[in-house]
Amino acid sequence: MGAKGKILAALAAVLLLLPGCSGRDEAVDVAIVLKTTVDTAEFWQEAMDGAQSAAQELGVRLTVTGAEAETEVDEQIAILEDAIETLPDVIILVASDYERLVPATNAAVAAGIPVVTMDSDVHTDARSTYVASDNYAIGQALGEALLEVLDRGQVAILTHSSLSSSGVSRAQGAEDALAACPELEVLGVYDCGNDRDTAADITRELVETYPDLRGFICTNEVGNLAVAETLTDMGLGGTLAVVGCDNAQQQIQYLEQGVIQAIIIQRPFNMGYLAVEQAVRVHNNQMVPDFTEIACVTITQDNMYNSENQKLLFPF
Amino acid sequence: MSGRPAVRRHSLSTTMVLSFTVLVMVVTMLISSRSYGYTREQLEATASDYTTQLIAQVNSQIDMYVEYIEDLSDFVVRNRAVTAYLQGRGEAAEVASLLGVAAETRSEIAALALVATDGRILFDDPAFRRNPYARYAEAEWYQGALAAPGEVCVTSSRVENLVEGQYPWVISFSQAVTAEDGTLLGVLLADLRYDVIDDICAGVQLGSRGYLFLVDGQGGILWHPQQQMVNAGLKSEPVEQVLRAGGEPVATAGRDGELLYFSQRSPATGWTAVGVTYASELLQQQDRMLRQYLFIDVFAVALALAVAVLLSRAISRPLRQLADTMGAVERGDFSVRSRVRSHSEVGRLSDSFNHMVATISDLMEQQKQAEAQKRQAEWDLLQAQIKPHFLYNTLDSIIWMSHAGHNEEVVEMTRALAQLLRISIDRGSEIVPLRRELDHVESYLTIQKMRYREKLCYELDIEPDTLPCLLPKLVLQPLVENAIYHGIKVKEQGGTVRIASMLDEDKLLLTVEDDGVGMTAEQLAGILDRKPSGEGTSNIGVRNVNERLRLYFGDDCGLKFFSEPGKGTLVMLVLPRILEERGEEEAHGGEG
Repeated sequence: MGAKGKILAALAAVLLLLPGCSGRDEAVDVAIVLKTTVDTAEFWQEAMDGAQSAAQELGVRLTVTGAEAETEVDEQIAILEDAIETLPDVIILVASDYERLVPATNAAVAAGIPVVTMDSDVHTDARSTYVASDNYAIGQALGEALLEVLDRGQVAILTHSSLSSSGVSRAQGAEDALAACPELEVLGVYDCGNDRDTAADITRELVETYPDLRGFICTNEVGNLAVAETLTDMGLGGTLAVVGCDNAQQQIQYLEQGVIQAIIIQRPFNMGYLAVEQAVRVHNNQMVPDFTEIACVTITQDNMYNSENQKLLFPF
Repeated sequence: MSGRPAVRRHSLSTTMVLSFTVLVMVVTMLISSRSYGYTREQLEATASDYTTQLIAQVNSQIDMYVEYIEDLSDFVVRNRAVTAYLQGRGEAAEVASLLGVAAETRSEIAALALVATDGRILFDDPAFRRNPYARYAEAEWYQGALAAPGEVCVTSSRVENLVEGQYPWVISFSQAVTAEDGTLLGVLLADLRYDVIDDICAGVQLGSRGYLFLVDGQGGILWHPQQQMVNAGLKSEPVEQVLRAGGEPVATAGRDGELLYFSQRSPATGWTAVGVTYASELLQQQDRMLRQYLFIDVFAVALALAVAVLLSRAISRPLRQLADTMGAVERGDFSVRSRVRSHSEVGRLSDSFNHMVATISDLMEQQKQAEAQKRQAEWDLLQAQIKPHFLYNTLDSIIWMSHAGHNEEVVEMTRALAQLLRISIDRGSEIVPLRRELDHVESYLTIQKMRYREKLCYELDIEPDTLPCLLPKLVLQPLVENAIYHGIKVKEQGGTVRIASMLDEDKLLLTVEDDGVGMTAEQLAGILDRKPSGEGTSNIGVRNVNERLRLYFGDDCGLKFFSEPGKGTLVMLVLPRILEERGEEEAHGGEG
């Protein structure tokens, strides 16, 4: 009887073991804390589309929160602290302030929740990685795009902020790139305070002051549109070289018209996607670089309708 | 349960159960692995059929739009008003309204535009303004149409920038408009909304995770459920590989396991619809199937086990019963019989066993009877040995001879009697050499010769080779006695007893012959009859000899009588030739 019993037991074991090898449902909880959820900027919509796509691909549960406005730093700190309370696996933070979000970020990491920063960084090594376009690289791309159409004369750099890291870095990158051509003289870096009217005024003044002015480098959409509009109004559209950032439809039209020669576009979809992807890597204890760069793309009148670029420029 | 060695008990039933189970297991495994393989193939075939059908359906839906637009395009291009306008003769308004009517029939049409080679552009919608910066002359649709007049040129998905302020995603169809003499007049552009493709494709579901995408004629991805990711370069498809396969399924390793790509190219558009299925989904079904097969297998094996156990019991129980019965026989109980009754081999074994036990028990009974007979015969022999009459008569003879002063005769007779008695009474061995038997007979004959004088003569004709041959003792004397009393004594003139011995190959032949009165046939027949014939006690002696010979040597041996009334009787003993061993001879010799 013993031998038979053993055989039966072995068979039963085989039977039980075979189907019992499935079930690995362990969605990663990722909390995204934006500067603001009210902002309906196309840039952030695309970034969130990318994040959602990654979440779907990688099996991530996303929770998106943010302050009422981009300027409400205290509110964002409180929201981040609330997010820590819910004990997500990873937090993705778009910091509205480089310094003031540091304590809350450190607290999250201390609580065992890794923090990935996206677009805007915080000033602490505690965060796992920073996913963003390299502003200096964008600046360099701006300078190089201008050099494609201009080899002498004076050039003005119009920045949206001489205080924010993006404004400063982009201007610096552009300046460094233009240094490659000694015949080009950089008149200076002009801060428009991210205001369209100020930018228009600066443009008009520069055009009138410097007859040798041959080109403009604009660090974002606001300055870019102001310059294009002003030049068009002055009847100078297409006579000066203009390069800028971002891809508002108006910019595309100016590009088509030849008022703007090149725009450097970031890829927010990729940023959102990669931020979530890196969050999952951090969660899985995989190596992540300190900085995850989202490469930018230079669009010109010639390449804007090729099959790759039209997909980047025109949303579906 | 009994005290037999455990090894033995295990072997039969366990071996049977094991081998039966293993056999069934192997067979079921073989069968189910084959049918699993077959079902798997079927499943794969069904899945690929299903996918192929779906993508064919997508293709045919798209082709339907293409056909419609081609018809529409043909209609416009062949219209005289259109050619007239392009040649600068006709009414712009008439052509515009024609375009408007044509476009209105289908909401899927984003725009219709008639582009003259001289640069004039007419839209279907009067609200549309021409984008002055649109560089259409280099565009694929324009160039393609001019390159192949009469054909409808289909583009991939693209952003249309011909209408000011609008940048819709469309699929463009274009066809050249020619004059009757074949000169190119312009191009008709029909933009199909990209949403149409979306509507057709987005609803297609391949399994729970499978999907479909479209590849344009240049190998670019025209439509993808994750278009944004594809655009962002975060998602790629092995388009080249799929196109190269030319419709054959392609398998690639993806992040979540193997992916199967099924593709079909539409000749109308040059696009390829690609269906992607996850092999793991197929595997899930296969897993379920495998589990079912395994369940069946285990069930079959369990059943086989149960049947094997029952069967082995059915076989081993009667065997065990038989073994128990055998054990009883082994212990000496021959009265038991196996009660196993069946038509199987075991039943036959049981019957044979019963038969065997019966035979053995019969044989033993016979043996017992033979033993008893032998004992009786020995007793008879003892009886024969001491023949009181003979003894008295002899002793009387001695007394008379003494009285008569025949001292020498007295001595001779007494010596003969003494020897006779010694040999008779000696209980040493039942088997003696012929030599000794002859001594005994001679002693007997000496005594009888002295009593019957001239009436009795005797001769011994003995071959010397026969002297060491062995035979049961006291077989000759009763025959001689018989010859004297029934042959010679009753004959007036007396007679001669002749004893002879010879060898015939491996047989020892002894004859006792007399020339007395002989016997009738009836007497002859009755002489060995077991029933007392009433003709005198001496017959007992002859019968006794006969039986003893048979006991020793079997039924082949025994006495043979040849007799004729008035002529005498011959008794023949045929015995196997057995030579005495040396030691025995010496021992007897010493004794003699």
